[in-house]
Amino acid sequence: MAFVTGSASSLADLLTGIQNACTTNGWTLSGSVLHKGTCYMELKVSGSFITLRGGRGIDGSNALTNATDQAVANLGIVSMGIAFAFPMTYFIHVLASPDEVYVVVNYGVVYYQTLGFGQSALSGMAASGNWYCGPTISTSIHLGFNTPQGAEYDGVGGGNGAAFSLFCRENAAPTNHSRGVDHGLDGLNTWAELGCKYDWASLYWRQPNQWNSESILIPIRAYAQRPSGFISPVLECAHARQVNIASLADQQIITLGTDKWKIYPWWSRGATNTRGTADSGLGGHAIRYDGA
Amino acid sequence: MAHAIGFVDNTGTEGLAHWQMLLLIKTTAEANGWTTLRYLNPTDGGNRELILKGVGLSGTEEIYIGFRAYHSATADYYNMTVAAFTGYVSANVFTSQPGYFERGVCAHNQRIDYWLAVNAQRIFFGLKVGSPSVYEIAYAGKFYPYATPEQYPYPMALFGTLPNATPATRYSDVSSTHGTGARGANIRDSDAALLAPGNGYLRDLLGNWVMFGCLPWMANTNNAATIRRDTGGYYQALKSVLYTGVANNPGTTGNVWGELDGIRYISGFNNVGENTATIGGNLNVMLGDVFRTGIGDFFLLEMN
Repeated sequence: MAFVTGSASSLADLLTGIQNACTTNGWTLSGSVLHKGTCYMELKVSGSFITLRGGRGIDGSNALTNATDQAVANLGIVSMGIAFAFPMTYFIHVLASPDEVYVVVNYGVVYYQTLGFGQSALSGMAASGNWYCGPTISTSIHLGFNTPQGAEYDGVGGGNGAAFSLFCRENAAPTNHSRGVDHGLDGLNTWAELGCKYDWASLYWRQPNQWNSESILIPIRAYAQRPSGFISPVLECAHARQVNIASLADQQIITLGTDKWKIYPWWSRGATNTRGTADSGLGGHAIRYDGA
Repeated sequence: MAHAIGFVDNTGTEGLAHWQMLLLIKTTAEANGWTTLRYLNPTDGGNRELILKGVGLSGTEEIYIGFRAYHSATADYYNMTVAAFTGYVSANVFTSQPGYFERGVCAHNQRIDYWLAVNAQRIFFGLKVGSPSVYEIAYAGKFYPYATPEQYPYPMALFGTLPNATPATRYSDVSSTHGTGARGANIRDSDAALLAPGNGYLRDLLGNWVMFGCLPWMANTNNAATIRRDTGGYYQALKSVLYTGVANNPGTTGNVWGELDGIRYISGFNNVGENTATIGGNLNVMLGDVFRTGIGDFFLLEMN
């Protein structure tokens, strides 16, 4: 497991940084596909984005096979009038058992974006368990949580949810999904899944605690939609959590027992749990940290 | 630390099944590090009482919990209670002990099948009562707090299946207030405070016993407890996360406190009560919520 940080002057530079961080920590690069074991992820520069999508293998031309049927994740979105600017700082967490990689970029001082990919460790799936998640390029994105009423009932308040959070979004149209889990349940060759917004909205909205001003780390899960309206868990991120960042600083490293976690806003820090017009409220990620 | 699975009935030394259960809690607790401070077993039909002191997982704590058995032969209910205290005064009656808080759980004078789990910080049990049967779960002792011992020294949780200490409720009652406290309060009213019915309580920093909400039972809509199922035959045992307060008042009333020790959510999809699983080397048994048998009405009890 490793933590790599650096500065990128372009998307190509950033992609090279991601590839190098992975290949020096157990991953193999074949064409545009990073792979380790049975986990295959394609990252490439596409226009003004780095796109990410998963598959189950590569062919003789290093092209992804059995690729996701969900939309790619896009790092590099220009949103809310905030340009994706260079040079930018990147933070790459390459983690194992299970394999998970998180790429966080910081630009314009206060803005962040996060990509994640890996392989689910949950039992019972009928496919590879490979997963990926990142920002959407939908034009109707929501930066963070909506109203508390929405959170208690509707998670992120409709639309496409917290577009920059890991798996905390509506089950919107696949074009807005920007994430997938290769679960293979019900004989379907789909990577479609539901996020986890209702899993923990009741906790988020009660953070930070009144009594000690602290916030807990909350598991990130994804669920497959099953027949008759049921859901099955298909992913629980081993190395990332959701967290309310009201009492935490951007990029702060916290220690809990023997574990260290690095804190990042979903997009940009706001003043309240509710998202603002140009911030993602107090939603954030805690990613396992192996740096010094 | 220890568990006991079996049944008690009205043929034992105590004469009534719920009395026998109280004695079983006493002997099992004593064998696992708890000290009996009081055990009253009158034979005139009066309430029986048990007060225990535990040392916690650190071995240096002082945890006070209690149990009672009460009944009415004429009304045909034979129940138990769980209680928690902050100390013990030998001259005081049960209900006047320091920090007293108590909730009831339905039992029976005839055969009760039980699942009793005892460790150094808490005791909980599940009872199968009557025929057709209902499942009664009760818990007394510490939970796992999201805090250090210095921050939160006495994180106690307490629940039975009844909304009061010693109500005259028979196990056959099917009202909404007869339910397992582990699932927490009903919270379906916008961002308002937690709403009854809810039989689960925790002791907050100020020493107040407050009704808690509990995930995942209170999760909603797309992730509701009622629509969760297995993944290819594997069931995820989800921790019971306790919270209180009003939503979207960060820093004012909202709090997330910790997790119950040994009681988790499991889906009832293609699953039935008393199914077992071994997790981390420990036996787990699945019990329902009194008379409820819905998908989201089950609890996984770790026999440890």
